[in-house]
Amino acid sequence: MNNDPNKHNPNQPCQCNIDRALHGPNGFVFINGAQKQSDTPTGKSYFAYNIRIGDTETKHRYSEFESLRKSLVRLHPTMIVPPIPEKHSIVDYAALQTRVKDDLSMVEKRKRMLQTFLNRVAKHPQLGHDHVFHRFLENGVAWSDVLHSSPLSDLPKNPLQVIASKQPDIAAYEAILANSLIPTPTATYTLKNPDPRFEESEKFTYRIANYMSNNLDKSQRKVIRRLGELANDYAELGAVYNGFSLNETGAVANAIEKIGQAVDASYTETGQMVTALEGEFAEPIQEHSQFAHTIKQVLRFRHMKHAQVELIESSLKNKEESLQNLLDIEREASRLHDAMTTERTIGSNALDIDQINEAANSHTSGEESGQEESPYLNNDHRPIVRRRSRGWGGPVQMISAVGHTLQGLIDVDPASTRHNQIGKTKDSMELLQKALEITRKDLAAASIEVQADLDRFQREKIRDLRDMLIAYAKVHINYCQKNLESWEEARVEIDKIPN
Amino acid sequence: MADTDEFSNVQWNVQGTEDMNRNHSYYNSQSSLEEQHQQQHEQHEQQSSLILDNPLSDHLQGSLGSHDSDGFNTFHHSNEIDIAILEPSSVNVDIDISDDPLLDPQTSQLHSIQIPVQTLPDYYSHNNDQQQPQPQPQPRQQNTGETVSQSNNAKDTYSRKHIFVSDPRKETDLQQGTFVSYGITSDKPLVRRRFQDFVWLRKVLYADYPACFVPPLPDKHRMEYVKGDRFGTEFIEKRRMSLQRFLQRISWHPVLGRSNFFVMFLESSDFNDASARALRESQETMIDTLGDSLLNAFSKLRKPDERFVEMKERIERTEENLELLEKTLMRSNKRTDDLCNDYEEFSASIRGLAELEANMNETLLHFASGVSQYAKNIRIMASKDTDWLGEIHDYMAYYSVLKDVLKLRDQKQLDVEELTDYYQTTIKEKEKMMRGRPGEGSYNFAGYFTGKINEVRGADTDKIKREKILRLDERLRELKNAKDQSDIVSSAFSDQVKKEDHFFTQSKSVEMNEALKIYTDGKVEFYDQGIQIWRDVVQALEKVDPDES
Repeated sequence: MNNDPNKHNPNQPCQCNIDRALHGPNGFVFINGAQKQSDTPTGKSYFAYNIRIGDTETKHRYSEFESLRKSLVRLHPTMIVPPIPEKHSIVDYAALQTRVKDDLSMVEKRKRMLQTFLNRVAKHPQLGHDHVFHRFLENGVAWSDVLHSSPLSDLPKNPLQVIASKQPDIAAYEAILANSLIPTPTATYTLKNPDPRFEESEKFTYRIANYMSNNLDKSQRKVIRRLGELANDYAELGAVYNGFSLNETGAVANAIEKIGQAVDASYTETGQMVTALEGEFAEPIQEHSQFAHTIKQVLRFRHMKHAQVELIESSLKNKEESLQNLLDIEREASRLHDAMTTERTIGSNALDIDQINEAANSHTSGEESGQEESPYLNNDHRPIVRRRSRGWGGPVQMISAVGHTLQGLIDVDPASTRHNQIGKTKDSMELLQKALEITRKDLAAASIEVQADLDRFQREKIRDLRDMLIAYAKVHINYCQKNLESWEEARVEIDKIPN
Repeated sequence: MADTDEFSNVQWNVQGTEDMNRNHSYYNSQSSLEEQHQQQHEQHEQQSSLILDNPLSDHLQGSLGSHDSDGFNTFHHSNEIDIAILEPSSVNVDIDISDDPLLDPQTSQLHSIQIPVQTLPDYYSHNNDQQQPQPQPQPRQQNTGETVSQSNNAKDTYSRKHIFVSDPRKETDLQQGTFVSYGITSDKPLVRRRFQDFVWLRKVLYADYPACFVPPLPDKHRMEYVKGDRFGTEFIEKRRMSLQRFLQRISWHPVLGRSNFFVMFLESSDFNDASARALRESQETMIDTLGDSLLNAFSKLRKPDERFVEMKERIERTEENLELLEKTLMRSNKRTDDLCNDYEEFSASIRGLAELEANMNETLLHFASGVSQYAKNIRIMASKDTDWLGEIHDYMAYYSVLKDVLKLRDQKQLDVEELTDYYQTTIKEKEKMMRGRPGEGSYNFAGYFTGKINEVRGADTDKIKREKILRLDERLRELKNAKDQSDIVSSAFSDQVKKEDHFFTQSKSVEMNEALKIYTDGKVEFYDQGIQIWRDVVQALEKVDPDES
């Protein structure tokens, strides 16, 4: 149950009908329609999109696409899951209330972009074989059932508790990561030994993501918006010319009328160019700007995975040190015990007790201030301690620290407490050791996977960008050609004016 | 032949202006002084004086001619001489030998008055030859003989001359300060003129050819003066275009194109001499005072001439259209300009991306330079649109000239109508006088009492009546004469306006042809080059194999 082969071993395809259809010769997924439907309990209406792959047809609404995408991200945190069209802003919703036409154009846009999404997922080397995705496309499957069954229902809430990579040999140990002893890094954690390659990718991705959404997308939108406005101006201008021609006579009237027609044609053509650019350029740009953000998240996840490894390392080290400490005390105690039973020298005893107390006190105060170890014990590891103290400190540690302090203060039976402690620490270390082993393997594999998908994506992006630019140019060629025709007609008419 | 016809019209135009100006300037001064209810009567007297003021109507100067002061004659006189001195050409001579229907009965008078002009030194006579290819002794022509075909011929002969205004130059003169001069090239050697000179030309033409559609000048652009942009390239270029259009229109005009003022403007080498300039300036101020002929806005024509009603409506409709067109074009031009900036920004954006995406650097740069080129072409196209917009703007000014001339024509007709009214009333009065006996017209208390008083006095009522009738006869004669004359003036004016309209329509078609050619050529060129630019982009991008990089 826990180890669904589809989830962790995509190299073995699920062999379902959808998988075969997707990877067959007619593997293109179509969204061939959208119907307005109403939700029975709430009475709210929504659009359901018709999806067709081969002979299989199904319907899903936008929120289900959203949920599918989220699920894919959770199942494949190292993969660049293609984006879906963005949700509307509140402003859009307010505006949509009154404008049904825009509502329809929004549905059209979503149809296009969701179709792109499905096909991008289908073509993805890993995501395309995911059975959860196949079930989304299957006919007669309620999406909520998919959400509430394996593998999605088994996924831990915290993505760091999942074995991210597709390494089958460590997948069985996933449960270890859910143990309360395994530290969770915070978002601000700074890596001690960052991977220079990923550091570079991160920087690049951040720059691209920023540039895409703040610069490129904005400037191309501006052009399209202005073209839309210009189209309206042309509509008006065409009407003015036509009115003008009615007032003139003869060849001048004909010429002006033809100019009016040419301007009218420019209006139509500009409008059509706006639509074409929206679909063939603006949307892909938007999509790629979203892609950049997705990559940011993937890299972020890998970063956290790396942080997790480092935290486990340092946690293990701490445990080791505290075990060492306990063992030292134990050794000292048994030496004392031996001495007391053999010599019973008060003076030396008193001195020793003082020493022990001092050690215990410093130990306690160290724990109270939220630090697990006292500076007395690991002076030479100071910088590490400081880092870790910022890194994590869960409630469990706090409680055990308080318990430890109480025990130390009351000191019911220091010897048995100590023994207990030693045993526990040894157990944790064993667990941490295992977890470290798993996460290290996972990180290594995940890094390779992330890198591979990044490379794959970069190629895809270059192809996409090139295609988009070509489409942009072609839309303009078409625009110029159509306009040229109508203006040449007008030009001929002008030559008929006698001079 | 055609030339002759045109000329005969010019002549009476010159005369007509003076009449008109005098009449109305007089009017204004009077109406400001007199009571409202008196105005009507005064008006009639003015109407008469219009004719009487005319030095040709000397014999009419009797009881009604009291307004006709020497001042007018002198003025008229001096005006002629001024022009003659200033302008060594042939206007006055033309007048002398010309054949104005108006002047028919008084030809000899005209000659006697114009003699000083005729005896001017010979230095202008060479222009004469040039200007008047037709034989000097001119057969009499009636306006009615003018036909459209004749003006067509005239157009063919004169319309194709091209005039260029170019090379605006900033000049500084100690006396005149800083100004811009423009080079003017025609078939004559290049001359340089400044805006003021154009203003002068417009003014003298306007004053001398009131029935002609004298092309408008570009606006003064007060804002530019205030902002100090007077020497800005864009402003000067706009003005240059408009000035060229102005000269072109004059040169194409069958009458204005051959006026001495225009010829002098194009040819005179000492045009800019201080003395010449001073003379022109004094002349200008004179025209200024005369030029603002306020028309009687309160009187309505009784029998509006359908031809001109139609023309006026047509002009107004066109004006409306032009206004709307200007407004819409301006908006779309502004938008096109913004679009150009947007494309440029987009291109810069792509260049920025090229820096980030090292793998695609070349592809992206290809594309970005394509976008830049396209933006540049948009700007070129937009500048053609702006030229067209300037054309439209100048047309609007032209149309307002048309409207003014039409108003003036209405005024001429109004003159006739009012004189006719007065004439009719006088006839009625005379009839009453002849029919009625003293005391019978009891409704006329004044008459009744006068009769009674005369009776009491023992005066010979019959004798008084006879004298009165004689006086009325005299008046009727005068009025008839005045009426007939103003009728001739009015119908001649109307004929000229009709011809002007015809000419205007023709030259408009020529101008439209040129302007629209430039406008549409700009579009055709833009889209044609657009196709090429984007094709090159596609070609360059398709060459790049995305899987290689």
